[in-house]
Amino acid sequence: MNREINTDIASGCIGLLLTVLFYFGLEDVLWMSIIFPEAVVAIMGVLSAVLIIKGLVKPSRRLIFVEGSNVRWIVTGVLFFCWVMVMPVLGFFVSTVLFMSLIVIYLARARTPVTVRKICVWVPVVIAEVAFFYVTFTRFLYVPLPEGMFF
Amino acid sequence: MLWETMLMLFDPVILLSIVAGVSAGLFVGAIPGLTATMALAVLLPFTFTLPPLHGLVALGAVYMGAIYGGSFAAILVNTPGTPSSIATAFEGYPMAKQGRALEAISLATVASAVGGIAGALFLLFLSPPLAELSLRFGPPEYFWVAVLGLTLIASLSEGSTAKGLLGGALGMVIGTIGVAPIGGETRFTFGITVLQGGVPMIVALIGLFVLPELYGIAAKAKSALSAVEVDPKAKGSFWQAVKTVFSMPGNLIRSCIIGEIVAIIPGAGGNIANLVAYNEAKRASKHPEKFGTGLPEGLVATESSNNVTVAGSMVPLLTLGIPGAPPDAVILGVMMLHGLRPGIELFTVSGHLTYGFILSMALAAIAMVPVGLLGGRLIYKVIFKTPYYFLVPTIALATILGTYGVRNSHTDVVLMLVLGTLGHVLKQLGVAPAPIVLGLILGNIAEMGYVQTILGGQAYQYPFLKLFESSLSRILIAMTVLSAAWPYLLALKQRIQARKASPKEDRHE
Repeated sequence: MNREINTDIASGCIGLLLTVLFYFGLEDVLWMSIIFPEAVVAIMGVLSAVLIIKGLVKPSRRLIFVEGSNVRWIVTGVLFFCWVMVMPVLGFFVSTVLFMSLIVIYLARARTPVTVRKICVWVPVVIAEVAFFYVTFTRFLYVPLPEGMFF
Repeated sequence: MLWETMLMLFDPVILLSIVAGVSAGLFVGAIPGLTATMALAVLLPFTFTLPPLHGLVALGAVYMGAIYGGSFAAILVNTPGTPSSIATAFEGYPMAKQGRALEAISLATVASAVGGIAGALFLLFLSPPLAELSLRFGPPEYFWVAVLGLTLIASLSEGSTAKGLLGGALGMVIGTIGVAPIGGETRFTFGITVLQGGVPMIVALIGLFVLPELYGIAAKAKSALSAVEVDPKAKGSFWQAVKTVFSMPGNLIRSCIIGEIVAIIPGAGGNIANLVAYNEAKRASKHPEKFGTGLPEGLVATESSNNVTVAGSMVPLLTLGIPGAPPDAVILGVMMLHGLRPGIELFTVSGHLTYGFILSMALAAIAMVPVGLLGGRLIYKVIFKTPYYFLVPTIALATILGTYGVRNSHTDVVLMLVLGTLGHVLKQLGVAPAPIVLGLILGNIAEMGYVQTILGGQAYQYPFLKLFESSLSRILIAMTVLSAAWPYLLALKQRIQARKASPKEDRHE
């Protein structure tokens, strides 16, 4: 992914895709409810087309995703999604301890050799941190956090 | 009312909220790459269950602390903690290299406090008359106010205006998901029942502002540079700093005024104010050639002007509902969460709350002095000792909790992740998150204004002509045209000046 691309065409294509998605999402409702979104979807389509045309007529290329490791942010993102997806199953506390520990171990590999000894230090730190947030939210802020198969 | 409100603020819980808010803001703001907007978004969940005044006071203090915190990294490691401290590094870092880091921090602290207090005073005296003017605003005027706000996308676009406008349109479409404000039917739900409630502004804000930063930190595998050593024997007394700052009243007043003017323009915040104030301080100085070598004048100009913008940028927010700067969008989200709508009602029906919030900003500015001078060095050490691999999941945890806490919805957390990831990809392609957020906020105001105007104009052959009927509408249209054309006019002026200058250079050759 570390390469130069025509960002006008790329952003125009994403804009066009979103325009199509929202265009077909327009339901048959009263004009009062639809007049404004309809106009904005049309504007988004026009702007996307303008960007694509600009990209073809006057191409300006730039490097994207050049800073650092792309694999690292993608894996981190996937871990974020998995964390949130398993939350209703495992419960907030267990899923958070599990995925925070995984993210810490994964990200630490870029800076330091990961040993069992280090993991034995990091995991209790994560547990303490999650416990702090858990207690603060459930006991003091009265925000009920998702419960799962454990608690 | 002011006196009663002031007494109300001396409640120990409120004072504690201010100190805690400033400390937390200072902590996040001092981390290079983490902005004041992110500080507010991350610390938001802690205010959910607080009464409205306590919550707003805490967030105002976080905002103030974050802008000030940016100066720490700028002075000590030549990396502005927030974009509002770019010019602070020009003078602060050379001072640190000369072993005058403590002096620079003390100067930044005093100048920031003065700027913060000045901003709160501007907000206190400018907001009520502007809010009264907003009484004359009907649906067409609100529509044009929203359009005027949208023209600022050009200044937030970071390069291509077309990409900024695309981001703004995307934000507006996201804002229309769910039940229509007029008409009451659902739009763009794609059969997903939870989307009937729409995408809460806070959820979108957290995702769009925080996730791209987290992905960036994860990719780079670092959150900050290595710190410089601070010489504890160096001169950095608070009273000496007070004397130095007040020995340049012209510089201080000019910088505060610049900060306020920039702050009132929606879309422009401390990031612009600090550079303009620095430039003007240099132009007005008797020895401009010494700028960049560690001159207190430059440091005082930047730090006072950027802290003026904290409260100053809330003038358009509290009166018209237009965020003066991206962090204000978070404050607006919290206000709406508590059922507070910008306009004259804020100063009448919710007067105690509004004036309490304004006055608390001045208290937050004062609180920066002890927090900055006593706790600053400790906070700084903690920040630089926290490894990035703990920072990323901890911030992610706070954002997940913040999103979940808005309405106890798991779907909101998924939405936040989807929007944040999309925001990260779009940011790489040149579509910045700020225009998307601006579209999201202003789209709602524009829709209400537009549909109500068309409904009110049904007696006309062409109902849309009602949009151009009042004189106030026409003034707003003129301002919109001027605002949209302004960047192009400036570019044209620069091109003409460059063309005029180039023949002279040729003749010299």
